[in-house]
Amino acid sequence: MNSPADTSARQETLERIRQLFTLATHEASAAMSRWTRGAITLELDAVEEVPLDQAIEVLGLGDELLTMVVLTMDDELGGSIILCFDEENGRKLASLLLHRPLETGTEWTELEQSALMETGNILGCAYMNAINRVVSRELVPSPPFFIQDYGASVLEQALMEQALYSPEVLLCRTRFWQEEQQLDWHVIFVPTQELRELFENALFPSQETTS
Amino acid sequence: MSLKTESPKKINVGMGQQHFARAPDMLTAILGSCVAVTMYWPRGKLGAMAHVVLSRAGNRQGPASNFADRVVPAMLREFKIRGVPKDELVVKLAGGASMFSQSRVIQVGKDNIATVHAALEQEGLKLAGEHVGGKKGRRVTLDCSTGELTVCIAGQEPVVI
Repeated sequence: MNSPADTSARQETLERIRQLFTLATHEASAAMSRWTRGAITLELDAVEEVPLDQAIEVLGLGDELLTMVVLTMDDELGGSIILCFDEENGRKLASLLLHRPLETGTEWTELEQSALMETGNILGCAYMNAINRVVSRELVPSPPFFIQDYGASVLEQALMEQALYSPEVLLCRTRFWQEEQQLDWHVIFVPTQELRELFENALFPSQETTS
Repeated sequence: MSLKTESPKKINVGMGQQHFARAPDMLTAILGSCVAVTMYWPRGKLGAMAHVVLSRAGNRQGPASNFADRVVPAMLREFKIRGVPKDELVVKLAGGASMFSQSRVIQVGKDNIATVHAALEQEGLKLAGEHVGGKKGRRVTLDCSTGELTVCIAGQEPVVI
């Protein structure tokens, strides 16, 4: 069992990471708004540390098939960014970006996949630009890849690197808005243990002493 | 008077967890690089599923079902406690995909499969069926009435092993 001091330190660490992701999400939201001509924005939903066996449930990923764009950190530190939608919402975004009527075919065209991957790219780069400034490191996301699969399967793979080090895993989740309406889309950021340590050690301007 | 019949329960087996169930219930898990080890005792219609995350425990903490090198003896112990002879168990394996092959994300799926194979051999157990590897996630369901393990992959017909 953790001591009160341990618990307090963990809460402080989580709060630091939350500050970092609030900043990064703000930047990602601005990029998303530009990309969609003001239609879509996003905000930080939660930064949570959860037991591994509860992670899938906490994120509400059942056995639903999702459309996802995955980026990994193209760096020795690792980590993943997963942009996920259900089928309907993925199609809606593609339709919005391509200025075309909503497609209802079973196969995703290359153009639709490309539109979603570019969205993942824009969000991933915006996140990492904001984070890089804070951690003073050049973290670059990999080219995005498009997956249609069980959300839980993809998240499971993304969690592996944290699972090697700890029975608890850190998850950062973002939600999207279209005007006043919350959309059923998410960005899930899954850092590795090394990336997490980098975040934890990052200096925040608000903690610098001024005299 | 009509007899009340219980509808089968579907018990989700989360990452690192292990569950037992009897007919008519079912055990289910969604797998990526993790593997599901299932053991089924036909005479008692008793099934177990472990959702294995990592290949080796090393100094890590956590339940035996989390680790491929510990899960097999741990499951056998549980069956022994329930009076089930090892040689009456039907063992199956599924999962172990490598979903992020384009990235540097570690590929634990293959390690998980190999480690379970080695652990089964050490216990003198043979696999009655397996559905492993590839690049896609799986939904697996063990029907404790029949011992059938149904494997669903997105966009493909379900496979029963």
